[in-house]
Amino acid sequence: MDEGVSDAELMARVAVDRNTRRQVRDSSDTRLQRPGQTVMAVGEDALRELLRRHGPSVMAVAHRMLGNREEAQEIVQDTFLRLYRHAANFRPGRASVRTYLFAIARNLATSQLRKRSARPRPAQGIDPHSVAFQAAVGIPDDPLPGILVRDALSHLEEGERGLLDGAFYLGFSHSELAEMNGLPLGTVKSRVRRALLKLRRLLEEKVS
Amino acid sequence: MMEERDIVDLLPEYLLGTLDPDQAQAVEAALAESPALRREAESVGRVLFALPESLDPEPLPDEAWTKLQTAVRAEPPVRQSTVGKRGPWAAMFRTGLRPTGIALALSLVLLVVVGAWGWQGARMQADLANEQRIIAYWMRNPDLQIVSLRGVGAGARPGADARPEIPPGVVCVLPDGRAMMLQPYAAPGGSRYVLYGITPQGRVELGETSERFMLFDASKLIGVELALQGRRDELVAEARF
Repeated sequence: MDEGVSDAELMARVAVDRNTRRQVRDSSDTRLQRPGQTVMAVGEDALRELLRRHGPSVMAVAHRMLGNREEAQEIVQDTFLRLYRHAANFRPGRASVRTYLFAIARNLATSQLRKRSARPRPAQGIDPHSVAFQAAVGIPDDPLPGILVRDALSHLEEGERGLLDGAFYLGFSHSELAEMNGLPLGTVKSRVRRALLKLRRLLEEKVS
Repeated sequence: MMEERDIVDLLPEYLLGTLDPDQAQAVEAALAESPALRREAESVGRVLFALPESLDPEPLPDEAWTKLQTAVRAEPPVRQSTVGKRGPWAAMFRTGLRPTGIALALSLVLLVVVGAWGWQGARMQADLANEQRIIAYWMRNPDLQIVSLRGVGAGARPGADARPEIPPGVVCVLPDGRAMMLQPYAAPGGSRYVLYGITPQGRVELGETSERFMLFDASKLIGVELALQGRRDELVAEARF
């Protein structure tokens, strides 16, 4: 029912639902909502549409990180619940909803991985709900097709891909990756940087 | 003050939340001052968070929306004033449940004793979990080649004393030469494993460890041999690549 609506508009509806749960008396824009429909129902419809659009990809990230479908399903649930709670913090035009979801899911899954390893880490890093994060990873609302990204990744050397995987999907710091691979820290940093520059160049070439 | 080049190197970790607080603060301060750095951060972030696009989407269970809807409807209202309310601790002391001095001292002693014991246990558990994490990281690599270490028993070398057999482990090798020796158990009796690499020219000592795994470079090796510290001439295992 909300298929033609942008992610940013859906987020706005979720934010309204979150902040004010009140009866909508009438609506002059039948495209946005059905007359008599409560704001809560509009927000829920919007959240449901976001789950339909992005849930399977968030599930893929969580499953990739945790290796367990049941845990991954919980991560998806928690991710969208957090999206709902922090919808008012989302700044359209600064970040895509999809990126925002990936960041939340990744944070939650990383915490889960760290609980498994019983190595608590101090609170650190950047909060995906923060304006700073959204400014840092702002991308247009049309994410790159998977086939382009997969093709770009295939051009990386095996070691580079392994380090990116370790950093992104397993939440390891560069120091930890250096320890696990028996490499100097500087080597890890330069390989990660090289991999990202390569990916950036390849993706920009393909998009243009 | 960090150089801009150093800040750029830290951007991936900053965006992925794996920097320690001091470094994260330094990056934030630098980003606040430099539009060029902010553009670079945006660019790096775009690439990093495009990585999940390479994964095939996975279907959600049928009940995914129902569960989420239930959770959303159970969320408390946004505006909730806490002015004038006291927390549970304040309420407890207000009703007069104050521990006596002796009870408090005993609690502290017990806390220290249990805490020390618990800390030791927790530390061992953390070490084991860390080891498992490293091993799991290696095992996820589809190009990993696993070569069994062959146990070299007392009868293998004439004149060697009989000793309990140390179960042999494996050597894991990646195409780029990175390798890991992995034993079922840590070196026995407080000893250390000594790992040798075999090259066409001869034998080189690669290192020693009391743990059950050790990383090394196998790119120029045709095999490895394992001995125990203090009995370096008595091999316990070997493997040929």
